[in-house]
Amino acid sequence: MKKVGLLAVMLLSAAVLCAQGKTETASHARQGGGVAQKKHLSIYTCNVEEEAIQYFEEFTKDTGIAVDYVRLSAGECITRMEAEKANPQVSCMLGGSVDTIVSAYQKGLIEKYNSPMMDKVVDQYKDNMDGIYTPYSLVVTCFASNNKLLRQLGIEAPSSWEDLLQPKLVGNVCMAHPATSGAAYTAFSSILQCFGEDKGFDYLKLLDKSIVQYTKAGAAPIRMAGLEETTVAVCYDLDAHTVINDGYDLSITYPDEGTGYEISCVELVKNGPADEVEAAKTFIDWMLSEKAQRMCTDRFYRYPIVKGIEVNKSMVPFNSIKLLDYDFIWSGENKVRLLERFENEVRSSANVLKNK
Amino acid sequence: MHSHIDIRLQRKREFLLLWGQPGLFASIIAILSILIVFCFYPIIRLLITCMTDQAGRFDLSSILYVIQKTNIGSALANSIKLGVVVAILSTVIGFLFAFAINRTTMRGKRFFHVVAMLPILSPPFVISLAMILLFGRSGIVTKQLLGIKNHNVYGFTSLVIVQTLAMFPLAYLNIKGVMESMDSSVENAARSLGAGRLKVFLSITLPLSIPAVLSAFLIVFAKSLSDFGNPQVLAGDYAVLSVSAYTQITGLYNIRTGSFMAVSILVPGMLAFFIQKYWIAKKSFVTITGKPVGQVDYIEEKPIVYSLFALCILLTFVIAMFYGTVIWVSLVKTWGVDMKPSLANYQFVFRSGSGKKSLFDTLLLSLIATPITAILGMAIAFLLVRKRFFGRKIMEMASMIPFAIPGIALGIGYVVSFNQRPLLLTGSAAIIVITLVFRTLSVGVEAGSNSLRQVDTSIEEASTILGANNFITFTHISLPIMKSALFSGLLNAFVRSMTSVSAVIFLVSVKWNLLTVSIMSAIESNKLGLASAYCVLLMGIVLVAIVLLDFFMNKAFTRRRRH
Amino acid sequence: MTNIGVGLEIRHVKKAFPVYGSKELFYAVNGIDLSVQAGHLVTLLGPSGCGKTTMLRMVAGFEIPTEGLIVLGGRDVTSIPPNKRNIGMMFQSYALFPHLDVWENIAYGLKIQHIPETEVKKRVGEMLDLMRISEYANRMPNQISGGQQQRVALARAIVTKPQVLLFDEPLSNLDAKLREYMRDELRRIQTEIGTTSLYVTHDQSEAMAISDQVVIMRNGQIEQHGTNQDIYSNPCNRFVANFMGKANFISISSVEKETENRAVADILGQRLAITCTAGFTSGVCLIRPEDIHFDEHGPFKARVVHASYFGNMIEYELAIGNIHLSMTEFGNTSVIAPTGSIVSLRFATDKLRLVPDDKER
Repeated sequence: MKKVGLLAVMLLSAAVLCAQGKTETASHARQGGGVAQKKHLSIYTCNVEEEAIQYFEEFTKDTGIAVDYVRLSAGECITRMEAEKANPQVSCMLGGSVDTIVSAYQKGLIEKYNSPMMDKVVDQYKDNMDGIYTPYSLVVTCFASNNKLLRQLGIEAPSSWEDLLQPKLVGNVCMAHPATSGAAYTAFSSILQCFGEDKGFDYLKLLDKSIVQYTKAGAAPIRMAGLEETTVAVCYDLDAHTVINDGYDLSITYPDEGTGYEISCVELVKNGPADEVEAAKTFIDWMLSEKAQRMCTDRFYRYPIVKGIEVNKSMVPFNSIKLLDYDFIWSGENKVRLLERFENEVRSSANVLKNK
Repeated sequence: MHSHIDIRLQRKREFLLLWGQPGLFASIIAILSILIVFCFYPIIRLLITCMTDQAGRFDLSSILYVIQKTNIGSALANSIKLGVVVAILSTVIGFLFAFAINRTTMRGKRFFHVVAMLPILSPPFVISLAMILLFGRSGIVTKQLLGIKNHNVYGFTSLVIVQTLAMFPLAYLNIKGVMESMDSSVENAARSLGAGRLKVFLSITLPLSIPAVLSAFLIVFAKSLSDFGNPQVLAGDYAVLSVSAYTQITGLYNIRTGSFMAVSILVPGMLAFFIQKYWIAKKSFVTITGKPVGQVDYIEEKPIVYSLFALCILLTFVIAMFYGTVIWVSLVKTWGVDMKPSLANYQFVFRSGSGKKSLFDTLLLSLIATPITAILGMAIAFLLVRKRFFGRKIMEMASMIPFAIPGIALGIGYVVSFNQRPLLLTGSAAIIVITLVFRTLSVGVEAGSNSLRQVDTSIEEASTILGANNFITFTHISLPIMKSALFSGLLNAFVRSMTSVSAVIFLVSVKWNLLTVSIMSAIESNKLGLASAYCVLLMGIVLVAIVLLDFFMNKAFTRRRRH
Repeated sequence: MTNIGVGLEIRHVKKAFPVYGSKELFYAVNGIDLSVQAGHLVTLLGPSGCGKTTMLRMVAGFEIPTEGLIVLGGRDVTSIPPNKRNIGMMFQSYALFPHLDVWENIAYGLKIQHIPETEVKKRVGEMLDLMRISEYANRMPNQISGGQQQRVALARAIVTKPQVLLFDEPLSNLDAKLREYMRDELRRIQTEIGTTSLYVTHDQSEAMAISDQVVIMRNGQIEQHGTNQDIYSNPCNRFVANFMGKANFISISSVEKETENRAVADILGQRLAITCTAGFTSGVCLIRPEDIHFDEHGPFKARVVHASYFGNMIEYELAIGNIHLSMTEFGNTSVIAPTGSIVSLRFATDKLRLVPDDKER
């Protein structure tokens, strides 16, 4: 009988813990209209935790809305939202690139929202597909090179895609695998868009010789450059700046042929807790406020997207970078096909050789 | 003649007997139901998800895609190869360690015992990072000590080293528990019959340890198959299934194909499980008979003791090197650039509200999960080994599943299954605790079963006939006898809870966050020092936990210490 | 201390086990009826595999009878779990709790019954005295000798004043001398407390020394049930005669019944009177070794094959033609007949018995 007692205690404690969860979610009446709004917001973010926290703290100061968040990688955010689709846990997602968000929208995970603040956005980036996403900054694909290793090799920092093919860089370039990293996929897609798809693959086959490793994590190449594991990392300038800020001796260059970029977005989650919808909208608007935009660039090395915000002094002026007319939609829609091609045409030869 | 009638009466009586022990009956029903809900159901839901399309219609295209278009075949083969090699190495090392500590006069046993448990507490990624810092292109060992240029650290060999290092403690604890409870009089008897040390070892000690060795092998094998953290960092071009599955899920946003790949890891895992059970079922290994005899005849021969000692020292050195690197990284501001000692990383942890909160949440949730896991594990072991009832096989299998599949699949399975009424658990602390419990349950079950198998049933029968019901017998007799297994169950549950990542990544909520998620974030933003500082804190907590646990276990179960 | 137990009844009990890989059932116990009077000690004696331990475990409640009932003091306990049967049991391996000291081992059952602390102390103290192990109260089980462990096990089994005591070959782990001593101790204590007891052993001398009644079992069934004298002198068949004590079997012919219990037959070429059980006319002739005597005028001539000297007796192996007999000589042990010598023998009158042969069974 006492065993039952023990089990009962265990189950009871479990029930108490559940109940806590339930009271949280019970208040989320699903059918929107006229639900009393809370001064509280739940967010998934794929931005770096340090960065996200600072936005949230400032946001709370400005609006009195408290933020609770979970920090995950972009893919994990989307997967989690898909798994939770029947009962979403959050009302907002901070971060994610356009192609990611478009595919999430197609899965029914995103609610359209047209922020009144969109007027202030630079014209070029105003089209947000009728509110699927709200852009708040740009990050650009760049090369980050370890200066010490460059000196050892006796070369300048690469300034074009072509430069990466030089013999001295064989085995000295690192990028993440485009299937596992959003940053790497942007670089990959940029190459294809810059050279044209077939020529792009020819280029990638040549580049493959220079690549020391396709890391799984997008942040790994820049880390490897910092730790002298590789000379050049292909990555986002935002990550490169952060690492340089930590004290690593790296230089940032952009390819002359044109480079890709990511529009970082903030989104409204479909069917999120109904009493948080207004708070979520407030947050999305806030991300386009002057204060938030200044934080973006001054503290976190992003290119602001709102007109008239000055770019961080330590960053290259935006107009000096040659940007491609990057096609997010093509990039997103062809992802599976392009990655398969990458595996079959570029990687397969490598695999055959290495597995022998 | 009327055999079917006879058996029916017997069945009825068996049922009546069970019914007459409502505690036992209710426990079996309760445990079976929670295992079905939390171990089978999420996997079934996940498989259903794999086999339906967006609109919920039956659709096998995801599965066909995986089989035809992905590298699932070679990845599975690679995973199995890795698993087998790591399992063999871990089991051998774990066995030698356990043997050295349990059966010889080697010096420094308590020290080596703690050392052997250290790697259990390795949070994912960090050991792999240490591997890169030590053996990478500009690694301390490879470049600075040996002057090797362009050493490629990524691949099979590194994975084997890192996984073996991280997983041999599981084998060690499992085998040690059994060796401790093994009646050494059998060995003494063999000695007195003139058998040499080697002969005794080969003919007595080793065969008697076989169940433990097999289950250690199985546990490590399953663990290696489902490991994601290490291959993610170190695998390079060596594709393993857990990473491929993760890529499908988070890179291509395809839950279906990814989940299917992840679940397919269950095939070799379960296969190994059944082979092991078949083996053990054929043998009986009772050595604690309740007729206690004498002391362990410790091995004193110098060559044996010294070579085992050398092995222990070597391993200690390797572990110290890895952990030392992690500690070192945590104590400098920027590795490779600013190598002056600094507490900046620790200050950051304690300054940031989220750091403190996740540290606290992690500790709290782990402390809740740990005793539940250990007690539930021992209870299941007790039922499995000692009772005959309908659903025994199901219970045994179910407890293994959450351990054997990659955490990401389990996490997705849990979200899909428990995100709707009546089982609405997402967002609560409960679901994190539940995940932690079931993810580590099987280690406790295995340790408990192994140690219980060494104990003569009549000890428990003696308790029963003296009037104790199953519960009292379990708590007063079986549990204390399983002390060592209980200890390793508790410890493992605690450590795994403190450090698990992949399963909980889909379950942490805005209210409840875990430290390892912060570690992941720090690693993704290349804050190696910060990540290491988190890890060192984790290790510190776990070490304190080990010491406290050791102290209380001794207090609770033995009035005076035997030596 | 006296606590006359209750009667134990076993009614038509059968226990079947499935045979692996077949639909057949194996009957470990196949129809046992037995009643044990309150306060008596009854021994189940038989070779290993005869079902005696299974029977004992069914009384304890560890196994469930496939058929039949177990009745304790008039109450059907067949479907009652072992912990509610109020039974004491001693195990072959003693099953002492390795993590508890002697005192705690003995007190365990009392604590479970929630007996007040002072009463527990008193009763455990009495037990320690009764078993003469007071000075070991604080030792752990692995720190005391085999005989002491035995006493602890017995103390633990009887301290709760069970209605019935079960013994599962409790002496088999002891050396010969200690075994004899403990056997007498067991009997002394059992008589003193008067608890109804069921005792399982395969050792006939143990069974004879300790029991009020002996039950000989084979193949899951009772062969014979009675007092030990009864079984020794009137075995119902060759198996029982052989199992209970040493026995010589001589084939016989031309059996002629004289009365209900008497016949004459040809035995080793002599026509001799033989006692027989009612109803049986065929079988073999049983003669116990102690019923063969040297006699110059004896009708049988035998060759001494081997002689073993035990001080108080001599055991001979003799051969009459190609028939070997064993004989024990208690009287004159000063002279040992040399190996190879020819001696004359006689069989004690009235000691020849016709027992049914059962080789085929």
